[in-house]
Amino acid sequence: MGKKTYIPFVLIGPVYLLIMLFIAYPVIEIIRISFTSWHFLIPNSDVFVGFETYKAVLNDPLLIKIIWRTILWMLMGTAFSLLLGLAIGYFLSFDYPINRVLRAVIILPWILPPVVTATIWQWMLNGKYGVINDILVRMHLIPEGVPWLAQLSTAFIAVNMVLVWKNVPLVSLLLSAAFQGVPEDMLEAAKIDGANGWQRFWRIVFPYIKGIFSSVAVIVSIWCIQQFTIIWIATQGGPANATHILPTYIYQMFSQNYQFGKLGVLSIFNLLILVITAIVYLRLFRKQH
Amino acid sequence: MKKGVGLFLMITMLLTFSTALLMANGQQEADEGGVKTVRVWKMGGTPMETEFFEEYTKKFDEENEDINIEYNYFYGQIRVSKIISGFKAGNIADVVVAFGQDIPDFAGLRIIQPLDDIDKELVEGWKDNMVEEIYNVTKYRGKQYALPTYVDMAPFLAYNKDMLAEAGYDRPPRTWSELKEYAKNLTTDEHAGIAIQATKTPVDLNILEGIAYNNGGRYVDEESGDIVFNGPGFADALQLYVDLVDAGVTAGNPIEDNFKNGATYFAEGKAAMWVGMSWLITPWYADSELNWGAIPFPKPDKVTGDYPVAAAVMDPTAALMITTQSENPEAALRYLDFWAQPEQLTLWGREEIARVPAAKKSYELDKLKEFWPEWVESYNEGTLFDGAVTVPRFNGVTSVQPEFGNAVQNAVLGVKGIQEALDDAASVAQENYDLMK
Amino acid sequence: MTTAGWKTLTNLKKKTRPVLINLFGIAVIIYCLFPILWLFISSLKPKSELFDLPIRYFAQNPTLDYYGRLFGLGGPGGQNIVNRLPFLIYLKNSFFVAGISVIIVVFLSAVAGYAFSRYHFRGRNGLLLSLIVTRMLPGPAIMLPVYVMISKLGLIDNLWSLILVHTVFGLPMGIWLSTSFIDNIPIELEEAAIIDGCSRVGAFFRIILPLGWIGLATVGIFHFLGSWSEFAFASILIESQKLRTAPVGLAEFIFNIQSAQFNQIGAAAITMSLPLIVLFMMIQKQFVRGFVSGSVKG
Repeated sequence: MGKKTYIPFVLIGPVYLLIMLFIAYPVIEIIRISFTSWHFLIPNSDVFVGFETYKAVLNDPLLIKIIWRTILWMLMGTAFSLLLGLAIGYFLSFDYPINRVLRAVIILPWILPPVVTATIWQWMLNGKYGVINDILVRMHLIPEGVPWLAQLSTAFIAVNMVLVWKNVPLVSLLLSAAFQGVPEDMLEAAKIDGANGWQRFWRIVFPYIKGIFSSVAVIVSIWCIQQFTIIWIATQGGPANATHILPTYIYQMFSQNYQFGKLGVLSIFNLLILVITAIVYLRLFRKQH
Repeated sequence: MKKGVGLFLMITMLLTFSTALLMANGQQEADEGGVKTVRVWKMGGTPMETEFFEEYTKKFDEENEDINIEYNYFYGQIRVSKIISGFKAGNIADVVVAFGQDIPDFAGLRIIQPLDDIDKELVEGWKDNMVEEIYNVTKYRGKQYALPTYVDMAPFLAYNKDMLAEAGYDRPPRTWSELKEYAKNLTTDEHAGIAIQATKTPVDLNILEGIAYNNGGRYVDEESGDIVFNGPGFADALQLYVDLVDAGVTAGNPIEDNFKNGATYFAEGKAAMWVGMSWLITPWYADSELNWGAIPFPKPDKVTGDYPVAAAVMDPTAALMITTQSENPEAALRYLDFWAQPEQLTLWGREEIARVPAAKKSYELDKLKEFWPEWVESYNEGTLFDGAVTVPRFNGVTSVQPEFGNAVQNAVLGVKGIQEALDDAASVAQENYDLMK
Repeated sequence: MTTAGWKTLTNLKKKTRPVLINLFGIAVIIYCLFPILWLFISSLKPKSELFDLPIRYFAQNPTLDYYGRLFGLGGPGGQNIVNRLPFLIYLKNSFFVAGISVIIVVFLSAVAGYAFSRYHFRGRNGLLLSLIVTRMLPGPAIMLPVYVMISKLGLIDNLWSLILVHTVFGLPMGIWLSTSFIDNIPIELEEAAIIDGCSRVGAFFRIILPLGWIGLATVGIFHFLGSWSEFAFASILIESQKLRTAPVGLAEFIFNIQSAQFNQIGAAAITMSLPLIVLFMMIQKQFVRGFVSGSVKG
């Protein structure tokens, strides 16, 4: 149905206009302020300075570190969420009896507001009274309790795993819906060919859901970066800046540092990271039309 | 095919239309016949305060037929974003109830206006009912910018009397070295010696600042305009924290446990002592059978800082300010005046005892005497506010605080030496601070 | 390998498979559920047990006190004010916002997703990508401009402002997902229906909706939960207590009790999530039925 027609534009147009109407202004505003030296507390600082603020950001070792950490944060979070989500989603798409229970409970982590998620995990990861430590000690995996969120070596990974915990249910559910769309006869045909489960999955099932998988990958990457509330409540970017990523730092700029010019620049970097990621995923996984 | 397109267009138009209608409905109603509307944003506070603030605001609303109050409460964490957004959108309330520490920034941005400019006589008159030191806390550049209802003071030490007795102590520690010794001897398998907090929560930082001010430290040198929290006053206060952490006598982990956790550890008997602010005594202990006392935090053995010793730092965290966008500043000021009356002001002392009240009359109340005999005693002697100064307060202080917080965490974690951590943070802070001049 | 050997192996496989499946299922259930279960167990613990070491996995003297306090019952002097939580109002607001927003988003996403999936017009990929780019700006950065816009529309402190914002910010993801889901519905079915004399619109309602409903329902759930748990805009665009949404009300509650009373926090979080949990339990049944009847299998 590749013929030229106005119909898709009629169908998409109004929705698209609505979105653009609302989002265009913030986007333009952010691009604009990234070219200013605007500091909220300094009168008349909201003026065009070219790339000065960009230079200032690129010369700040802390900010460079935060930019890299944001990428790492997203890659780690996305990889773990997708791997777990793929396994659980595939599992969920079968009609095992235990899936009745699983389907009912799996969504729970996503239902909890981020504030609660961060608070529970803070409590569970507490160095002294945390239940995670208790379990690990009982299993003889660690000799004594570790303050996961309070030491430089573990804080980043610990918060990232909290994020993964929150993301996995919906990734699983989205992918399981995709798996359920795989036509039965294709699976039957593969079975007759004598392919084992593993081969069936990678040769037939996965290619079929590649399109949805790439969409989910893009969306999860965005979540990973947007879900900054969890970090902000659990560690506020600490200890000693070890868990700051771009959105938490931008939030700090908005509510404490008031350096709106830099906020604009960092937002642009944040945007670039996500756009590049999205393009990479789409190149890798999109069905060729 | 045509039918489908038409249907879709219709639905979209319907949606747009209903949205437009709703928006029209959402428009705020204009003032009616002489009745002036005053919008109030209260930011944060203890639950009890939140309760009676609303109740008494309603009372004011009912008593004054020519003023219509629109009151809204927000939890403290979104204070700054809410005020900035409201101001930028031209939608800020007439009265905001915020922190004393906010005043320089808000005044510098012309978000709030001096109260004396509205009615100097009225504002001066408040002094009669109020403790002078507290009244002056909201003065900035010679002008009264807010009505403070109370102050929080730091640093204080809470101690568990039973645990001290068990360890053979009949009085709380008086000096830093005594504190360290106590903390060590009070540490058992059951509980830690002391709960201290070093998260990046502003309150935790304010407490440490109070300890440093005790030691002749200053955050910023008012005359030269230099950030000086890397001076010996602060360095040795931070050293005290580091010593306590290194000795393994702290409850939980100061890096992850903020003042709320500290409070809980102390209340649950998991820590024998606890460093906090004057709100040490808050309602969450009401159901605890803890046998405890509270004193001003122990003093340094020898003052090492370069500045005059300050006995305490204080900040009003419910100060009523009038914004520059207020269309009815006179009506707003009448609302403030209502709160400046003893009847309302003594709610602190009568209902809420977790604060150092601004009303003179509060110190005559039995409830305050019962919970805080030491306060009332020293108030009557005229020494309660001796040597008390405001928390670090200058244009841009909020932008400097995160750097200071980093320095504290770096030092406590042992990533950097104390002096190095403070020096590094001070130089970044200085850059931020210089921007503001 | 002998025939007998084959048999034992397949028998062994047949026997271990269900065990493995159940083990995996149970592991996933524990992974997802444990933190919430822990929250629930904590909510039943009296204060004296909360900080017991070694940790108690079950409350010795379980109490419902902390749930009662949410209703203003019990609690020691003065504390009943502290712990009261008007959650019914919050829940009502959240259901209102998420409910209306989800209807709009699912409908518009289905239509736009259909267009993106079935027509390969010029600039299609660019449009799709630009949609998703709008969701890539960090939340804190767009808070101020959005607030200014909503304020100009006079919608501050109005639940419809949240519906509007959630819808607009939910649509890009919704359209993306629906496009992918509709992509997976074989186009031949639709063509066959059209040849049979069905109109395009008829085909949409007869083929796309029935076959794609699991996908669209997933989009709906996805958006519903996103809108339900949205925090930043809900906390800044809404002012009155009576219009507060559940996550903001809960956050306020948690910040307000100002101590690490995880029993009280747990009770509040569980109470607040309960209606949603029940709702999803009910929806899940539909999901299972849809799956068993194999309605999506082309």
